Amino acid sequence: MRAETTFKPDLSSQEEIARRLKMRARIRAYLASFTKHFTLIVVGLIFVLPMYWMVSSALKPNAEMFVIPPKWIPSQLLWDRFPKAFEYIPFLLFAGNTTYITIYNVVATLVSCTLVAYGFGVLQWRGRDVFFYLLIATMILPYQVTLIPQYIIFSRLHWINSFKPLNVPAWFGTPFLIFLLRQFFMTIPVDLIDAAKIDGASHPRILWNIFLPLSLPALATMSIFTFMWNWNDFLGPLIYLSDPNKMTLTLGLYNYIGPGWDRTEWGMLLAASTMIAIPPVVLFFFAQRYFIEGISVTGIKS
Amino acid sequence: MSKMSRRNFLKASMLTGAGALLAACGGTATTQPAQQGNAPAANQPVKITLWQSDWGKDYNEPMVKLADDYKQDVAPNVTVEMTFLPNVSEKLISAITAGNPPDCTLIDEGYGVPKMAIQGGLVSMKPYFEAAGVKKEEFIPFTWETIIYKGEPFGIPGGAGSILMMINRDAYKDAGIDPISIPKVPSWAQFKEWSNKLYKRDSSGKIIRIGHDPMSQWSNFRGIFDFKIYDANKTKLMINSPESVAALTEWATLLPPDVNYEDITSAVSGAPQNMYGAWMAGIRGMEEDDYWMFLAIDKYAPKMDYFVNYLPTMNGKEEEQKGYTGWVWAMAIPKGSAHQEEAWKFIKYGYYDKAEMLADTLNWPSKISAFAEFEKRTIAIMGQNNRLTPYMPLFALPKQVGAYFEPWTPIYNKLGDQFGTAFESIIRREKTAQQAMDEVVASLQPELDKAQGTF
Amino acid sequence: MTEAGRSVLHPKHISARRREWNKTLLGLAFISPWLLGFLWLILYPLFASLYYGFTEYAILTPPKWVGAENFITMFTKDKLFWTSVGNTLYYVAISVPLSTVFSIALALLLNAKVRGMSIYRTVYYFPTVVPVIASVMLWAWILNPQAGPLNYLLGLLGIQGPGWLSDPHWSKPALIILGLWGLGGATVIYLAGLQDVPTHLYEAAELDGASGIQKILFVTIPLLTPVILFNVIMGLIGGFQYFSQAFLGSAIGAGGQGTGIGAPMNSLLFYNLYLYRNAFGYFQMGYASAMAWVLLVFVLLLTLLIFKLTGRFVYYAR
Repeated sequence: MRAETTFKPDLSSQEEIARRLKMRARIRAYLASFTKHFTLIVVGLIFVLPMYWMVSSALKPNAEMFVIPPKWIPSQLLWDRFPKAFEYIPFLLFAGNTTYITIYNVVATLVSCTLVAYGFGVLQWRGRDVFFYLLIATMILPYQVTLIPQYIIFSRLHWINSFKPLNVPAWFGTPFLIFLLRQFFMTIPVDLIDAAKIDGASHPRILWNIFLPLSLPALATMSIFTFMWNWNDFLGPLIYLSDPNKMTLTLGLYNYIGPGWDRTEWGMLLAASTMIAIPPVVLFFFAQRYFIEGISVTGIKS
Repeated sequence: MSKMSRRNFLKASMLTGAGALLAACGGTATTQPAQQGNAPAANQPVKITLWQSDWGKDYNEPMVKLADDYKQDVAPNVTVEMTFLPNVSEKLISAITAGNPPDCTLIDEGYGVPKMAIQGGLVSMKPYFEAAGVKKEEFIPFTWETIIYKGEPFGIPGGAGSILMMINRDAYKDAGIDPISIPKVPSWAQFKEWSNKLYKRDSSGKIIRIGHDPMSQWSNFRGIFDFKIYDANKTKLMINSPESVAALTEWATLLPPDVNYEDITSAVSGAPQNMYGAWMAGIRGMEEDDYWMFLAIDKYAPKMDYFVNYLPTMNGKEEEQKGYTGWVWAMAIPKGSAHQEEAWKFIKYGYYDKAEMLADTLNWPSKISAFAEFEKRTIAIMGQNNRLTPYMPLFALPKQVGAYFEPWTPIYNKLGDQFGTAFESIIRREKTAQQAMDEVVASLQPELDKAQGTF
Repeated sequence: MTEAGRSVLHPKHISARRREWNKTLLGLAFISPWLLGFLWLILYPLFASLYYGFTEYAILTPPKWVGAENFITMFTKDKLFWTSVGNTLYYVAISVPLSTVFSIALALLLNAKVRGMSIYRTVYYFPTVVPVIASVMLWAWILNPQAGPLNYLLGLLGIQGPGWLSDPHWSKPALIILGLWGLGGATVIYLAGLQDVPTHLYEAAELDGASGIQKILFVTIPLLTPVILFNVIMGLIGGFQYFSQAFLGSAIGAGGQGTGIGAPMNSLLFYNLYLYRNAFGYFQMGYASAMAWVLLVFVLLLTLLIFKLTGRFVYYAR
């Protein structure tokens, strides 16, 4: 811009230019920031609007449900829809079942995945990589191809219409989470392991005393994932649960839709849906760091 | 230091995986009742399990009362435990396979009985029927086929239904049809004419009222056309025969030429979504159902001026009324039921001996001799002054004379699905009736051929 | 006495081979939970379903061998099979590219250093944790042709909104829209990938005079390609396993009209749904197993193909 040869510092015009450049830059930065914020907010609204619609419709009086133009803000807030939804569908029963299955899965998954991830990530042994590739391969397997024989296996064991087909497999680990934890384990410095070995610690000791304490974030991530998957699971309960006393929230709600007497009480159904969605959303809000980091780690390292 | 040696840990962790299996298998001790159909000594307390469709609190409670009445009046030692499921038929096979079926069950799915019977999932009722003197002629004509497999009964018809026309006087008047001029047994041509007249558009050209929705109730109207599905021996599909195609084409003309089906769904989707909501709001000009309509109408449209009329027949003649048809659910005993005898006794009580008690759950009994008692009970429930009460004899007639039914073959379910899709494509004007039916026949005739001899 | 102590005292008693073997045993022991589950619930069922694919099997009766009949019927006589394939491919072919483009765009947006970033991230991500039944019900409601807000907004723009879930031509687009609401999952992965891009490359590009868009096209995207590949594969696999939304969408949206699973008019009969219908609706487990294997072979071939093709396009900073 300024010719480097002229050296007469003409302060006033230089300052002018400098000031104007700075202001232009500041305006540009301001505009950029504004556009970014604006776009973020607009897109954010688009994402949030459906949820707002769900909650507001859940609270709307029936007469305002199907009006044209749609009523964005209900004239009354029928807060009692939420407790009423507890009667309309056996919400507490379903919630209890879902909670049981979810917590069982979290515990079993943590135990099994930890062991397996240690075997894949820390121990060095011949054949380890072969089995590891096998693990990866199973992640690509479409579940349909094992679904029917699994169903038949469970039915021969008389496990249909019980929680067992949904619970027991957790003891065998989840490939995705094993992978996640293994990657994490591999980031733990080898010197720690060597030091422990010199002290004479056996592997279970090492796992328990060294790896687990260091892996709490990863374990938290795994628990959260498992919670989400099980809380939201639909196909599993659909196939394996028939007794209404055993149904989970997602399955139970599905069974209450459909034509028929007062079956399409949208207000109730939406209220129930909102309540089903609350635990995962709340959990996510508080634990989003673990969630998002967990996904990023696997995404990148894969 | 570590007390666990490597070898011990080896064992321990092998067990984590295998232990899951063992630990879980321990639960297989879920008890299987040892008895298989042998009645326990009389007066031993017995509990039988029964699966019912979940029709909502209003219907579930009277069913439970039936069980209590049974306990009080007939068999004090028997407790009937009812479980209400939303999708009984879907879950029944799983339960039978898993070895823990209910002792008796309601089968709500159309022709669910032969569908299960062909797989050996149900217990034949022939010995029970013979011992109790239960005969085919005692039941509504169109219900018997639904419980038969290979000539033997595998269930007993329970609650039946058939439809009549529900006429909203104001809507008809608005469409230029004088309700007083409507004959008791209209002809098909008259029915179509009213349907066409009922279509109404608003100032912007959007449809705000429709006549008869061509997608609804075909299965209950098809008897009027004497719609042939199979030939006499059930070896050949006849849905693409000239008569059947003509019937479908004629039915499809219910959709006026200037209306698309999307207009109908659009018009109806905004209606209140309770039972008959669209009809009560005047959006659906024509609606049909059975007598239980009074419940919804009393609840949601107590001031509506309506009346009830027979469905049309082809030429408006009474002798053609044997073309009426309907649907029915059945009670059956699954294979593996632990208390067959007791289950049968309960079924016989609630759905045969005392069939009129089905009135309490708003179900019409299939046993014709129970009709009179049933009507009395129902009128007591509805109220002598209910707007629907005078029409009860109208509701009874299709059940006394209606004889049209769809014969059952093993391809019934697939046929239902494929025919339904084909039917929809005809109404949506994507295919002609001949094309659509030819495709279905091409797809399913080979399966029907294969299934010959199995039913 | 510790293990280490023992081996120091008696070195010759444990040969190298033996040590290797012991290590392998230990490794196997640790992975035994997964391994046992793999053998019992994955490997065995894999071969069992292959076997069933060659039989006619209605659960209560034993399987009956019919040779390749299921496969022949599937490919030559069963029109619904091809319908379900078509529906699935339609969905995958549209939703995978769309969601890739949009989620990258969103990730770029979110990569800015803006205050309140974690709130935005939450907002974009949380639709993916909403249970599917709630989200389908919600969207069926939003897409209600008469009274739903979407058609209302379209109406404000002068467009007559279609019947969405009740219209066979628009039911899949309806599900695609529902799927786009769940972009947050992929976005988050792209975000992490973006943060891995070395800043010195951007500086170098700036020195060369690159504009903002050019920077994105020639620096960001190429370096994101491994992440894109990962997401595309995950998207494809997810697409081929698509079930719950279609199942619930046809149940809720078609509202009792039409023919049940896959309504209206089989427009929502996805591959998986048709499989489910065959297995649990018609009790034809053999046919359903055959369908499952066809899908497996297809997915394997597709994955191999992708890896082969993208070898050239994907950049690995190794």
